[in-house]
Amino acid sequence: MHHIYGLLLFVIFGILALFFVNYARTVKNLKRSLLQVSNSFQELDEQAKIILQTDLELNKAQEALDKRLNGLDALHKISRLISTTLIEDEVFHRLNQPFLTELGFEKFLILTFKNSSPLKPRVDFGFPRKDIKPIVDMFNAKTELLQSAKKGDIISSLSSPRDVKEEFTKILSVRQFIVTPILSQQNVLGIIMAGNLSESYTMTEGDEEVISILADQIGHSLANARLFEQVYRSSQELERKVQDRTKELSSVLEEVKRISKTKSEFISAVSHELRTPLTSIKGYASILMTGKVGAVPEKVRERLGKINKHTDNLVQLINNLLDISRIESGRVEMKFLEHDIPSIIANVQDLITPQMKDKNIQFVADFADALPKVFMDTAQIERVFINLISNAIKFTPISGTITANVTRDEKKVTVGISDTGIGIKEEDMHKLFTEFYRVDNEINQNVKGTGLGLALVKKIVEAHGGKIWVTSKLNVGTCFYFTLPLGPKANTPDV
Amino acid sequence: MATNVGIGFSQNYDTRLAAKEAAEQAKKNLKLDRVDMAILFTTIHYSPQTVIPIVFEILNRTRIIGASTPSIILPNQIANRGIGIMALNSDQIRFESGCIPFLKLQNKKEAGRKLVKSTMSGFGQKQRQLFLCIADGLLEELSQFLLGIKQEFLYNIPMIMVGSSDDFRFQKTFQYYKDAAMSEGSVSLILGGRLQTGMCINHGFKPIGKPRTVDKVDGPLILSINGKKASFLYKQYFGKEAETLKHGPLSPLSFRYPLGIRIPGSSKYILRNVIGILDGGAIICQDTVPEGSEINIMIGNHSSYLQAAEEAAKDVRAQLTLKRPSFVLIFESIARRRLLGRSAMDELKTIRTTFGHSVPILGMYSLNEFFRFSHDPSADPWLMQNGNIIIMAVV
Repeated sequence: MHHIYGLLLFVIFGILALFFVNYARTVKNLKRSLLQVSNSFQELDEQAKIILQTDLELNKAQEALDKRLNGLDALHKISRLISTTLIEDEVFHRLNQPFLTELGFEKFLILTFKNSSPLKPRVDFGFPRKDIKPIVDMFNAKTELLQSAKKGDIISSLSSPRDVKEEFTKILSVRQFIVTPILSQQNVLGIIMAGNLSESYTMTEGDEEVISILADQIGHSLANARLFEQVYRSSQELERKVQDRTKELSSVLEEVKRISKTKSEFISAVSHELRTPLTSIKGYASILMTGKVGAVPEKVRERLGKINKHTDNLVQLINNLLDISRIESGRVEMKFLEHDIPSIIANVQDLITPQMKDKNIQFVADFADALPKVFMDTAQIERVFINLISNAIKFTPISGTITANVTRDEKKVTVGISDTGIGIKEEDMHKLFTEFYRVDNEINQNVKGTGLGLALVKKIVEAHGGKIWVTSKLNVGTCFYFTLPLGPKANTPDV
Repeated sequence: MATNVGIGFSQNYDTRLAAKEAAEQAKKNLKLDRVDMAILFTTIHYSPQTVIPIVFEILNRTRIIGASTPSIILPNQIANRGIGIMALNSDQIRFESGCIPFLKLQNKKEAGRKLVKSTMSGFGQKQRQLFLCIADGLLEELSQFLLGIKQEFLYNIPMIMVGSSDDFRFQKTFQYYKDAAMSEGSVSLILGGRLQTGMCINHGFKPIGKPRTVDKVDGPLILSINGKKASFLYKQYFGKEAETLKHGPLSPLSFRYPLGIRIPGSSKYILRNVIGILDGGAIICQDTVPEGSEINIMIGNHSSYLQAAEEAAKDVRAQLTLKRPSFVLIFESIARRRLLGRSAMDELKTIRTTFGHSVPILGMYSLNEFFRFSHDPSADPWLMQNGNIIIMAVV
């Protein structure tokens, strides 16, 4: 029985021993697993540490990138806005926009110089009104700041010495700031201040760059606006001067017209007054020459002949004067009819042939084909030809040539009367058509003349709506040109 | 039976003109002379004392509530500067507003009760549908304030509370009520009558690393975690970078890697930004973290934040049984504004696409948010949160 109990106890102890051994092994395994889990958990936590630190770095980079992108976006908007105006006030008005804060600053102050005046605020936001004046006064008082600005120096809470930083943070009432000059090619135009009181954004070097770019953009826009203003003012001034001068000239012209009219009226009156007694003188001289009032001795007859001849010259002079005066005053009644120029020249040629023969001068007529008829006062144009050809004969030496050349274009006929005469000096050319002007040369000294012929010719041509001018080369020859417009009085003045 | 909405917005530099333009535009877009309620958000660039009386007069001296915000969410933009107004007219919704000033000096729970009484005094016996409260986001113990509100309502009304904010300075925020602007106060709006509401909160953060347990707290301070100084948690993961938390809520660690408090029995986490670290190693939060809470460092990315917003919008749409909402209000954490950066517009586009491009939207950025993840009132506690987007829509 004892053996049985002993065996049973042995078995029980054996089972218990096995159980405890197994339990100890299980516990050991569990402990090992727990340690493994704990280690894994620890490793995971270590990995979490790396993830968190990496994430922080990435987020910082992302935030900086976001800020830079926002700044560049805002800068782009601002640049586009301010570069499309040339008015200085409008530049600053456009800068005064909410998106300026998108540059990453909550306070902005833009001050500018104009001419020699001190700095004045042009854009401000974020600064209380009462703070602006002390800031502006401080900048105006700091001449060294202006010198530094001229060099393009930037003052900022990021890069400036501690004492400067402290001074500016105090004056501007901000924690972070950038002060940068607005420069043009030669000058400091102003100063930009950007600052943050809040520490929610950390200022970086990128911010300095953004504000510097903004300052450059403003500088360009401002310089352009000021240049435009300068040009605009100059143009306004010029326009004003032109207006003043035009007014003065109009006034002078009116005066000249008035004097000219008075002169014409005077000449007309005097000419009429002179012609009446001249007619009597010529009449009496003629009667005396007939001998009806008694025998006239030969010497007296000779003197009477001279009276008669000089009276004729004087009448001619007076008639020319009267014609000029009438044309000027518009009292001549022109009879415009269609007529061809070659036939007029032929008539004139008949009249002056004797004079040309005397000097053995050859007359050449050179007309373009199919010359149209021209509306003209035939008698007056005949006078033009007589004057011009007579002049040519007078100044052309023996055996010379006179050419009448007629050409046309769509609007006018151009007539040229050229000679192979002594020519005209350059300095006399512009005076030729002036009344009573006679070129000082040997021929004119010997041949009498009134100096009214070319003046009359000019008046007649202009009365037809044409122009007259002259070209000449000394000792080679001279050519007078005049034009007559085509068409039924289309371009002729109402005379 | 209809609810009409008019949105007005202005960025005029002149405060008076901006207020006038925004109010007149809201009224014009409302297309009705009677304004029953207006919600007003302003950025810090405008003096509230100047803005509010002008808006109040132009909107026929109607009920107005609102707050300061660093940016305003509008149907087609997120404006970093401006005055945004949503004017409402409805013959089916009953609106009433209330306010409580000088909140800082008062017992918060008691102040919560007072705010409810003030709001309900003019509301009458209409069915209560939604309570919206905007408190000064810089105040402490806002959970206690909310508790007072809940107790007064006997826990039986959906509610949203958010904290007004400034431009990341964390210095002074404003709350608007009728023709007055205040700081350190709270304003409220109750909606009742025949309306259907949809609300959802989401953040898109996921836990990373080992979960830990909060051992000891003192008010808003977490003193120790897993038997070590609380600040060791951030030092362990971020090394020297954790020192930036001493600079306060602007440290990137604060809003990028908030603490996540696991809701017991749920896979959801409540976010709590660390707003500082004391020399003794304690972590400062905006509100209490319950002792014994399981916490994690949280992480997210643009994609997860945007996905969270999309999910929230779709959830709200589903709650409305796919009906087109009359208007949508968005309360989004200022932390998300920083986190999303240029992608913030993508979030707005997603929300617009979900609700329809013609739905009027107005939103603000908040310093903190109080809302439940679950639709079941008993499922999770009402704790202060950071880093969330709350979408609220009304049919």
